Amino acid sequence: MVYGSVPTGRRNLATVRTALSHAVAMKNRILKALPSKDYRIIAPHLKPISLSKGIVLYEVGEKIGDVFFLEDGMVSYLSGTSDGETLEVSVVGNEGVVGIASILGDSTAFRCVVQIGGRAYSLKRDILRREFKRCEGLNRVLLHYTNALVVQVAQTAVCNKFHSVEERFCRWLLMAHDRSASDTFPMTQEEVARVLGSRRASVSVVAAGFQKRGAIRYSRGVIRILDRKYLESSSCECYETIAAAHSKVDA
Amino acid sequence: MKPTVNRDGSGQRANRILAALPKNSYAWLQSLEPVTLHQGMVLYEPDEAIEHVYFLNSALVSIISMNSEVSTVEIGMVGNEGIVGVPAILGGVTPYRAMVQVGGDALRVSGEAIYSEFRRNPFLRDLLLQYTNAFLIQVAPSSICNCYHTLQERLSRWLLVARDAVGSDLLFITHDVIARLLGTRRASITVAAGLMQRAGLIRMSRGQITILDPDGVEAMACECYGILRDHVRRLHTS
Repeated sequence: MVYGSVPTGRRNLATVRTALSHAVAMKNRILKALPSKDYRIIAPHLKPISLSKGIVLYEVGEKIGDVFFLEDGMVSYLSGTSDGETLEVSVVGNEGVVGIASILGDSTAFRCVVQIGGRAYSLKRDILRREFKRCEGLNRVLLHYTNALVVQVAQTAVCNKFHSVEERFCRWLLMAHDRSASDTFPMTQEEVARVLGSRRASVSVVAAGFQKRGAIRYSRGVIRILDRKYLESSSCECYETIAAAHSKVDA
Repeated sequence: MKPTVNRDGSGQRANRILAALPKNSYAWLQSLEPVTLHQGMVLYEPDEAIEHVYFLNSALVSIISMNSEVSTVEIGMVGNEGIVGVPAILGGVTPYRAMVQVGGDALRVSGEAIYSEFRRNPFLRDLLLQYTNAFLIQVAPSSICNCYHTLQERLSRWLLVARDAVGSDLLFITHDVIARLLGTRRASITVAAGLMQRAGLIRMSRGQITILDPDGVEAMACECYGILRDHVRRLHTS
């Protein structure tokens, strides 16, 4: 695994700082939802890192070594057929933890790729597993998150089955926008087609329509969200269903 | 319709989660209530707190998304490898309905009782978490399958997964129900199933489908069947 980690000297300082003011500094909603007792146990083991776009965090069937609590940015779990077709089965941003499969089993069944770069805290999987069994609050939050993830995966399947490329693209843009730290993120039409399980040509047509209505600007593989309200009104109900499931995790 | 409670002391543990529990769970196992589930019964409704969870012995239950009354689709299937009511152990609800597709026996326990046993018994906890993972892995490929595979492939996959979950070649199920689970029209199922009957792979009669040639059906199914089967096998050998 290749990712840019913060130089050692600064890492210690960053860890101390986050341990002192966790509710204020943290954007990750799982970490924020922890009772301070549990957070104090986890915090010394969190390592701030940055994840850049395109990094593969896990391959299919790989044993999970580290889990990642994202602060911003977005990670995709991708499923594929033997013909090389791919489809995004779920995404993770600051509402979750990448590698939750490590508390359920051992390995992940999906390819896990950084779709929008951002900052994160990594944690050894063995520490998460150990504390998951000991810390009541951590246990509860992670199980709630697992429940929300089941809904997200199922609803994405339903969405791919019934909804148009336009509706699905809207849902995806809203989910990405929620997780990204800015209104702009790099994502080529080819990449959008791969996550939506659609053809590039269809994505191109839909994107042109959004641009014409002033909802997004899309040039040279960079998407800028201009009119979120428009996207909300054009999206299917799946966006709401998924957001509602995740909002219960730290409620 | 409510599940019928079996008083004859049957309810043998064909359920593979229960069968994998060590002997010291015996007292807790005695507290489970044997019931008979009938086709069409709804075990929980969307966003509803889960009253009972069910360890299935011979029944088959579909977890169904109901975007609207006309566009329903099955997001997952539970047989003797699992339990109905995963959200109860995770401490939540889901926007889906659990409905009995093929009637049979099950053992049930209240949502609160499973939640406290889940916290107390590390063996049960690990088994249920592994099953949750397997369920998640089952739900995800249905996404890619619905997107890329033909109805013929998906129907073949569905029949094989149902056959494994029930442990029988005979499935009591109508074309109409399968159409709703696969999110398609009844007429399309009739065409696809008719082709399989003419090829001698299945036999259909009123509300029943018999799988005559499982290998032949498997040859027609998409790779998703193999993936699902391997995950279930791994679940029970680990």
